[in-house]
Amino acid sequence: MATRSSKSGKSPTSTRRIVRRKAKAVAKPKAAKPSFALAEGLAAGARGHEVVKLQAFLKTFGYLEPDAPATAPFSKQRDFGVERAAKGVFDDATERALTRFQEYYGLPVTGKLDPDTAQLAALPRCGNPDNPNRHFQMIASPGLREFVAQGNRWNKSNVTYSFANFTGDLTQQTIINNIRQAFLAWSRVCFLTFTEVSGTGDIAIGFFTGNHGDGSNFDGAGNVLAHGFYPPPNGGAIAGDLHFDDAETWTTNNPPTGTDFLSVAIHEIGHNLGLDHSADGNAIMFAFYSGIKQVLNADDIAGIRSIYGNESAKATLSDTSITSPSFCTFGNRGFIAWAGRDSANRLNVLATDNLRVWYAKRTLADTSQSGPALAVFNGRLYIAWRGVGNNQLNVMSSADGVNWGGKVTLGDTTFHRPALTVYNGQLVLAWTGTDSARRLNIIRSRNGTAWTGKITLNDTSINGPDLCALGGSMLITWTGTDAARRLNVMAFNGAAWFNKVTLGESSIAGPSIENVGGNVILSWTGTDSRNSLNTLRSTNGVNYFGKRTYGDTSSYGPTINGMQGAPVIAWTGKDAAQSLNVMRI
Amino acid sequence: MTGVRVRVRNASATDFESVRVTLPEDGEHDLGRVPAAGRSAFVAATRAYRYAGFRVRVEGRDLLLQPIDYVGERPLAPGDYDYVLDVDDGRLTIDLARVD
Repeated sequence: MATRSSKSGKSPTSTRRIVRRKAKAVAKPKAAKPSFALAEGLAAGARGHEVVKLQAFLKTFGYLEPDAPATAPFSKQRDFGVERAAKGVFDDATERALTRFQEYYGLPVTGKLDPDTAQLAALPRCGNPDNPNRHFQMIASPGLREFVAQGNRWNKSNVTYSFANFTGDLTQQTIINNIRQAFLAWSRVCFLTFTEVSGTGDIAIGFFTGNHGDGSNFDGAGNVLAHGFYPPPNGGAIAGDLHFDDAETWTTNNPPTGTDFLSVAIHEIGHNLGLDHSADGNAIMFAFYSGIKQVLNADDIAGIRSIYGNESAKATLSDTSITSPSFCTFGNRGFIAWAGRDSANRLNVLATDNLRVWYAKRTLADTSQSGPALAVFNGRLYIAWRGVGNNQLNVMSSADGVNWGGKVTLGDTTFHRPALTVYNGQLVLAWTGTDSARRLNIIRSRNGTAWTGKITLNDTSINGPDLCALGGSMLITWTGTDAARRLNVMAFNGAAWFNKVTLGESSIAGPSIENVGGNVILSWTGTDSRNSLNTLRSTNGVNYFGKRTYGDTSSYGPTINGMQGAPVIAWTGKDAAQSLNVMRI
Repeated sequence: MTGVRVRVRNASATDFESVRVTLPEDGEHDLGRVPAAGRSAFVAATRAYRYAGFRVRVEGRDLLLQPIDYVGERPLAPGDYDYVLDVDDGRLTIDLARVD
């Protein structure tokens, strides 16, 4: 809960930092770096050319009203509080402007052009104006602001969000879908990704009326529509939260018969991410509602990128794993599964439509100390894993990726991540056995529950294998038990194994293989000192080419799959938390 | 001066047949008719910002300025202010001027 004291207790030093950050948040043209040699000693009552120079300086940097009107959309608003001075006269307006400049830069506030002030003014600097009004208002009115604008940012790349409640105006699913869309709008243009969680996320979203306990009462229908709190540190747990005024009529139709929910959500999430209002009337972050506005403009994009940088192909999730994850596309959604770093190493599944916004996380009761495997078979998403304690293989499935059931535990055992694929209308499970040689095995199922036709190969592996189908064949890949731990690929035609290829590449863990649109992609973690991720391509499962070594690294094997036609690689990072990462390649 | 007072200045060339302002803590105030280049009476504001909500009737049409929120906005320092409203291409624009 934000407290009023916490919101007002800002030091001038922190305020200066804030304002400078904010100035960066809006795209402005590059300017030369002017400097001003001003005559020391000017004070109230002075007149003449030196006063004109002082006033020119104050106009240039936003402390006095400029001579020419601004031309940017709605730029009038930026002029608020900036007074016009009598040219060449050190009048009250000039004195107030100089005072604000001194306050803004933490100089002794004398209202005169003293040596410190003249020296600072003489320094070359960016030609963009300061934002003295904000500072001036805060200094002039120690009264409270509704929200703290510290230029805060989320100090992580994946931000979680949750729903505290919903409004009756829209269905829950409509709200959820629109909020996902709102997060996606920002995520598409900056480094951040977002994960919807069932507990309390970084951004807790809810609908409230009147006094709802955050010190910023809603006001009934009309006027204030919502408010989004800046990121922490900002008033404790309420930092980053998003409140909608439930007295409004929220709609998603076009033309809207009420207040367009998505437009306001995108705007408020901008605040949640650390953006302030923009003076650009076409920006999402403009302070006024004018109907449907659901697309970020250049000003919004420049603003969010000034805080979080450009968008990245890689999504680093908040979730962490003890070992390799698995990734699979089910319907149009991608699903990642992993064994968590909780004390029990419970299995988790998380969904995404776009690799930017993640949702529907399910933490299963089942546990594993190896990574799970995912595959889609007969309209269901299957997960296979090595059980804790008995090392037995387990398989179960879900119709929606959320609700899981039909668990089958096999008598076979492994110490590593198993593999799943679909071949010849059957679900195929592969694993490295717990025999002393660590031989590879496969078994098949026509219904996902009854498993038959186990084959044990003579080939052996230091870790789990992986499978994919290619034309009429199925490929299996593994890291050999030879001294160099070289990668191997072999084909199966339903009756015999053939075309075994031992590549020149080596891996510290199990490789991953997938057929993405007719291109076989093989991925592995290298034995180089960094343990870099690598990929190779093949069109026939025999000849591999186009090796790519990525800057990303892992202590475990990656997983490769396709989503919306593009290869996607997922891995557990080498950061201290062992964060999950997913990247379109 | 201890409080904040605001009024509307009509910067357009057209009479405002009626003006209603909604302030964050004081609800809606009917400022009545404000002729072109004219000003309304002052309204005391518990808290006000560089903008507010407005419903202005111009030539038989209602024009709205609907704030989304006041997030990050600083309350105005004590004093008298003009919300300077203009009509540009059928839309209300707003400026704020301190009244000396």
